[in-house]
Amino acid sequence: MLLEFLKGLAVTFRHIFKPHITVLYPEQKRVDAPIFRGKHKLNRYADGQERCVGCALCASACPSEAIYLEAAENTPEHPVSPGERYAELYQINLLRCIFCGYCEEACPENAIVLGPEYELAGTRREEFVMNKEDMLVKPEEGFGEYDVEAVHELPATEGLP
Amino acid sequence: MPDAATTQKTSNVTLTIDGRSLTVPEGTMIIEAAKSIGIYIPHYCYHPALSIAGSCRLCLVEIKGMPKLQIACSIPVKEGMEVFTNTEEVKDARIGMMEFLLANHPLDCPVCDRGGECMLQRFSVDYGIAHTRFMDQKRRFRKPQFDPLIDIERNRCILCTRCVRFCDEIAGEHVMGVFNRGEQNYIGTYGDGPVSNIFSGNVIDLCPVGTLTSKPFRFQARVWELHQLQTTCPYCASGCPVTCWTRDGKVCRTTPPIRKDKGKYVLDEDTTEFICNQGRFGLDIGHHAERLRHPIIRNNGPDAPVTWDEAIQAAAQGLRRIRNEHGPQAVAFLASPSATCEELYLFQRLARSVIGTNNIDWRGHLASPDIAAAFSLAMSTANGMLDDLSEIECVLVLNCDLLHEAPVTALKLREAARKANIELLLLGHHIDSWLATHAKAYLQCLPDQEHALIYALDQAIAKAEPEPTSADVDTIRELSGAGKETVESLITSLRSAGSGVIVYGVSEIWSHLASTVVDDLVALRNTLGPQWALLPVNPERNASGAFATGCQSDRLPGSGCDNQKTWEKLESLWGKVPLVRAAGLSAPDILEQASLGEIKGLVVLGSDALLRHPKPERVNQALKTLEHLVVIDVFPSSTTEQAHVVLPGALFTEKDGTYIDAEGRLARLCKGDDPPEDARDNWQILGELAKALGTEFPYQRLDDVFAELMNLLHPPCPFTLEELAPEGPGAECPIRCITKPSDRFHVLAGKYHALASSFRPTCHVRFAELPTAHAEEKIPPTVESGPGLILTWAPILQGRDHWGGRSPTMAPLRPSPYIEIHPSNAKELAVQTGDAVELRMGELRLLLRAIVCAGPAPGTVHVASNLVDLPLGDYLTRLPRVQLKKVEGKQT
Ligand code: SF4
Ligand code: SF4
Ligand code: SF4
Ligand code: SF4
Ligand code: FES
Repeated sequence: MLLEFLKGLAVTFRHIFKPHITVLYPEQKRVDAPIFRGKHKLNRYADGQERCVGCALCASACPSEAIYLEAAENTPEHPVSPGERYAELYQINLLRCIFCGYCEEACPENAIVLGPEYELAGTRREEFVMNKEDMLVKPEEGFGEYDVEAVHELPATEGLP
Repeated sequence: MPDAATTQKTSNVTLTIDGRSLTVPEGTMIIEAAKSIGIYIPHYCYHPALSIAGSCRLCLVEIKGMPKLQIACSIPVKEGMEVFTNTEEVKDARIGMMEFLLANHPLDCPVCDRGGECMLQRFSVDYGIAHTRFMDQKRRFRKPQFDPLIDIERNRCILCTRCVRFCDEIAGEHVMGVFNRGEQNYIGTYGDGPVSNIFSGNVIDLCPVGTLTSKPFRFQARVWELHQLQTTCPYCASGCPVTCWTRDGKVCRTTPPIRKDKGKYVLDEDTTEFICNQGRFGLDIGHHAERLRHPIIRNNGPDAPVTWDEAIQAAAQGLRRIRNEHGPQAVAFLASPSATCEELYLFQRLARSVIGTNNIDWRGHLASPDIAAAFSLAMSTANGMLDDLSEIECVLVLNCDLLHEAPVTALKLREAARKANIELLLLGHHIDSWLATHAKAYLQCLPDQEHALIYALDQAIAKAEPEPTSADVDTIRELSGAGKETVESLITSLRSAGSGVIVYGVSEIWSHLASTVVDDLVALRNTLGPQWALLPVNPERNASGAFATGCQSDRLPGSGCDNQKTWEKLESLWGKVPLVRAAGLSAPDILEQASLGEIKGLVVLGSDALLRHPKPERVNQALKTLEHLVVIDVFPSSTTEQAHVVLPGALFTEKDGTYIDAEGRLARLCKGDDPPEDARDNWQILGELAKALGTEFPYQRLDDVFAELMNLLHPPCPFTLEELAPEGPGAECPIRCITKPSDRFHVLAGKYHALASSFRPTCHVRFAELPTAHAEEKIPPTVESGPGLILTWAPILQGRDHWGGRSPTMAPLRPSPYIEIHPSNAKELAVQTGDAVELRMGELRLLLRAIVCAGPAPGTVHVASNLVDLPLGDYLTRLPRVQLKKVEGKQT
């Protein structure tokens, strides 16, 4: 009987001296995998224009129907994105989102990506509906691998109306 | 009917396509033959309603014995032909063609409104190659100013010329064209103007790619996000079936009916049903800011919203008081011809059985009882249909600007005339100049000569001799100023046609003249024979419905008010109170009695008819005198302003129900949204009103109302309301085809005629004793004497204001006030289309845009009465003469 007891304790003591896996959140934070899928980010071009053209392909790819958007037409005075179309309203309901990353895969413009942020607690349901302001990367954060100039309207071919 | 076409259709040929043998009529193109056995041949430029272009080369097929591939859209079938549509060679050719088409294509599907229903996308999936071999810079066009309704993106164009052919052939306006040569080919309009015809919206659906897209719909939603509501257009008596594509209940766009493809409903880019711009762009008023959203009780104070209970009680209390103090005849009911049949039926039940009055009518837009009588006569002699134009040989259109009153009816007639399936004849003081280009003959006359002209025609046709006598021809020539050949060919056409329809516009008949002209037409119809029918065209969407449901002073549901059997039936159906078996007051009389103070209480269901009254001050005067006015409406108007109780109702996308169009087709209106805020469905409002008045209606659902109504028509309609819905259980029920018109012509005809005839007694029975001798001297002069041109008028569809005019899309496109002038008069005045002319009528001066066309008869000019600001209501018995003067230096 005593022998069993000591055997059990041996396991305990062996593990006490092993390095531990849990972290002391929130004082300490884990290092994520590079492909971690957290809160969405909407990317920009280096000149600050939004990459998203409001095509709604992400919304149609989303299996849990978490994305809702309404598109509008750019005006020459205040272009939001290169080209004619941009997302006037872009919402993701994080309560519905299952972080599958299909939206990222569907996006033809590399506009929507799932970022590393996972601190998504809130006290009211409305807080989980992300709007464009909540997801657009801040220009001061830099654009990382997306740091390219937007391709603006190409000139018309010579001789055509 | 031309003999060549008939014989051609009778001989059949047998061929095989992909090993399957089939027999089709000679002259059929391979592409159509394949379609008939369910083999779809990819195509862009081919469209069943348009001429054949053969330019896209995507429809290539292999035909045994022919060395090269052939295009299936322009090769007619031959006996014993063997066609293969999916061999390797064919696939290769299609891949090659797709590569050519995609070489310069921008492929910006993510921002293209056509994405998801694009033919180029569809065939790219099947025949596109994944990477391009085209290494040069793609050709790029600038974006031009094009059309207020249509957006153009030339870079996406594949030059199939469907749009050009539609405008040329069907809309009859040579406005679009292909410009430049070679790689610089592009689509545009001559003079870079807009595509101005009223069918222009159809090029959006016809364009197989995203070159021509809808401006109002631009970037509103991706098509796969939309819900399709299959319903019917509420604007005119053509009664087109339409599909409203809605997002969260909001109508984003409207198209002709859709097609089912692999279990899903999709836009049919090969549809042969076209709709007009009013129906396509004008249905976006559901979420309009001006909608009535709360019931209002007006006690000489501010219009604070009240609860429904309070409003209904207030409405009922006032009516009850007037009934008790002054008797039921002091209450009257005016309905709108835009309400559904079910609402109209309940409305007249409310009047007749709950209040006990027969003062119920829908013709609030008519100025005098004489005109109302003419309307009654016109409606009760109506028996024509244009549904199956292959069974009709001749159509005579009298005084009707069909293009502007019932556009799609005009389109169908013009198409049939263009393809020589019918002979089209026009007659009267105002003809449709758009139809005139394909008319076999037309006769014009002054408005006061009309009666004499129809009478003379009648006489000429009634004669036994095979050739019209020269005396008759001379009389007609004198009246119409037409040439001998024209007159002779018109008479010959009328006499030789085995069957035909006389179409006439009721909005262009005035006063006492009205009854005479309708009489004349009935007589002419009787002379022409039993194979001829009459078809009055009311511009109102549900005028026929109001007539059929008994929402008219001299009608009951399904019969005239002199039919004692119907009275008995209604009494046993409705129970309790015995009904007053008599005709009530017609709308003009109701207004008259109201301003005299005899009628003290009025219930209005939709004020749009009243708003079209030619003398608004008379309506206002009558409404002001009322002690109690209850109005059920969707938008505020001068009528709701005067109302003591306003009850907000539902608009066409917010309710179920049925409409009956000019030709008697019953069409289902489907609900796709809830009425805004406190507003309610009209039939429920009527039910609550009845309950508050002490009689509860026994209906649980709208279907019960429909069933009861249909049982009063003979023969009873065998279908339920639910079965009429496009997705309803009665999927095979013929009337359902009204919302799916592709098979409408064939399936529907037999049953439908039966239904239509139930409220359309053939005029033979009722008017056998009509005086055959026309008393010419009884007709007083109806035109002002003196110099100047005679002014005639009629309302047009685009001038509607209560609903249609509120559409944010269509309102800015309302035509500027114009005046139509015959070329001979225009020459005297040295006026051309587009010039500004000054119209003088007594003291009045008005600046108008001149349109020189063959529409008005020489010596007359014509205006759209709901565009101009003229006191036309003062001229109901005598047409005015006006002076015109060209205003130099002004172009409009
Ligand atoms: S995020 Fe990407 S997929 Fe979604 S709408 Fe914008 S561009 Fe389209
Ligand atoms: S026309 Fe068709 S293929 Fe071309 S961009 Fe639009 S959706 Fe894509
Ligand atoms: S605009 Fe559209 S319909 Fe017209 S030619 Fe080009 S692709 Fe064809
Ligand atoms: S023709 Fe009449 S029914 Fe047809 S779409 Fe136009 S307005 Fe609507
Ligand atoms: S469809 Fe036959 S060539 Fe275009």
